[in-house]
Amino acid sequence: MAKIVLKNVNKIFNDKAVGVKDINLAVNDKEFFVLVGPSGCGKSTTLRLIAGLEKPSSGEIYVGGKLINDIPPGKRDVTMVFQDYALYPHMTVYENLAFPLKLRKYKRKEINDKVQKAAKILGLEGLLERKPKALSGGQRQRVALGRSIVRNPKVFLFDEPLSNLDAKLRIEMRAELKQLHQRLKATTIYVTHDQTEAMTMGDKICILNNGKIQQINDPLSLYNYPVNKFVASFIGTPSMNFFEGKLESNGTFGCEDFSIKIAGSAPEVEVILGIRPEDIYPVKQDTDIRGRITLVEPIGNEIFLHLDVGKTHVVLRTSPTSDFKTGQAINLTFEKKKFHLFNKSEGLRIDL
Amino acid sequence: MKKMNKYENNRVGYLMGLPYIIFFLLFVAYPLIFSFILVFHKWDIIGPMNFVGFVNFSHLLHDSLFWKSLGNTLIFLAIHIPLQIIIALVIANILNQKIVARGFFRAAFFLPVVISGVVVTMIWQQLYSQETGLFNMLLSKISLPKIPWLISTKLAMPSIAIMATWKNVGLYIVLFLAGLQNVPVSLYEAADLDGATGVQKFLHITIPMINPTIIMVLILSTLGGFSLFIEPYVMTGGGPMNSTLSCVLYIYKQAFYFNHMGYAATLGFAVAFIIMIVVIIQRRLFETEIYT
Repeated sequence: MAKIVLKNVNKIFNDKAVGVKDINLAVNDKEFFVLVGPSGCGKSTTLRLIAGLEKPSSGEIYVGGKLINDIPPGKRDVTMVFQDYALYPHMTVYENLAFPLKLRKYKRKEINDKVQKAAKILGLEGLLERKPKALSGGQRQRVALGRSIVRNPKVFLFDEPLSNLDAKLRIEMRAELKQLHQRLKATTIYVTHDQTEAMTMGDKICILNNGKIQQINDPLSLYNYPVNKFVASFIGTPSMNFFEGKLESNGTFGCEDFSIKIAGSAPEVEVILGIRPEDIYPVKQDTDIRGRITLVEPIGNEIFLHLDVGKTHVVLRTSPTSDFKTGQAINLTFEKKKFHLFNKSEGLRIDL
Repeated sequence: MKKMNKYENNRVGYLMGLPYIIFFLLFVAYPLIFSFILVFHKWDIIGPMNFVGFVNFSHLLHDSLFWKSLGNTLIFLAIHIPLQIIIALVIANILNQKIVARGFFRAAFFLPVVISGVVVTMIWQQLYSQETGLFNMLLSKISLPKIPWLISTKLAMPSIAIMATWKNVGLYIVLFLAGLQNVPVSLYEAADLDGATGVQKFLHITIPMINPTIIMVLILSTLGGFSLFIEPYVMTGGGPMNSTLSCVLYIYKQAFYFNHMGYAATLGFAVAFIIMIVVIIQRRLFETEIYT
């Protein structure tokens, strides 16, 4: 039972730089929880606070109902996989895996059993006598995982573990990590800056920006109901498109280049209208929204079209069957009920 | 633009290297070749050189004073090297942490390295002095017996080793600091999570990771130790009872007291050969792969 709870956690570095601000979150037992955000958003700091590598300036951290603020990292029953793997370069793979067990004074036979078992799970059997230098990036990654697995900890922490791998391997390891989690069923907190990783792996995702939690929810809820403009723009590739304009009392959104009816009635406020690339369609008939193609990006199963709609840069995704050329003028229509409205002052979501 | 031909290009290069080439020829190559020739001669600086073949070598094998000086030097090394490495490593480790006035301490420990050896030796001569020395005065203050630092044949060499350690340790602290800073922080963090204590981290991470620095310090202090000269020359003149007569001091005495230039050259080559053997043994024993 390892529910992780952070209560009003703050971390201020050198009395000046803010690491994280008033973090409140709960990670359920066996959950795969992803912390995601741009660099410097405080996601790694949050992870290091849970690991015990940083001390919170204020607030409380609980693992399995136990306050762990003053417990040293080695006694917290958490393990961490580092971005650079942090394998001990002078030790063989076997010694790397055995090191945490040796320090915990396990018997030699027990150590051997656990190491062999972890090596089997991760497919490292043939590599046990090698030094990390003689391993590929993916193999090093597995050894780092193995060093965590042997301890059979309550909590796994991952600090951008895939960011040093090449794209293909990254996708393979992504699936492997997820399967490993299903097999081991340990509470997992995973830090990444890659929103695709976050979306594909997380049971629940926490989006951070400037040291503050923006939103915590499951991947699809985040995608469909972003609470603010930051979350809306961060989740999804290509990013959501935004138009600055005004809502009229009759439920019409109007901006410099077009106006569009989006509701029966609405408060009169300045807003930002958000619409995802897949919710914009090019159409043959004349519409109010016109764009000029500036770039065509064929992906294979779809095409990304970059357009200028007035002064606004817009990206839409469409099927590769249609023929588009740079410079071509096209008419657009928006999928109804897929609008996201944010108030202009704070960027907070408005639901009509 | 005029095309510079290959020769002109090289000429500039050679010109740049000239100061060092002159220095090397004059102060390294010439003395080395000349002393190698001397090995087979008898020469008192003033008179003519007489070829004597291998006489100098057979003399060396039966020269008990040379073997004593070698023994003295080895005693010095046996105290000086471990003491130096341990102290430098411990202090470097402390200075590598976030402590108050770190910059000041780093400079302070390095200071003795840049002070002239003669000055240091004269200061320590005072400190070690039997009746008026600071150490013995402090010992008497707390009612302990005085220690015959430089008077006892057993203690004189260890006393010199302590002083040499004080003088040189700053250099090795700096080398160790550089080595320590090359150890990735994440290794220590991983060890923290693996449950290692401070001492375990030092033994299992720090020591193996800075092995190249340890080897370098070992070899540098071996070379430095074998050339021990100023300290016994100024402090004890090799006494008492030749107990602080180092190899180089003995070579110096053979050359410039007794004008046995050929024999001194032979001794010089013999010591160089011994140093080489010692360094090879050290590397065999302690060197591992490089990891950083």
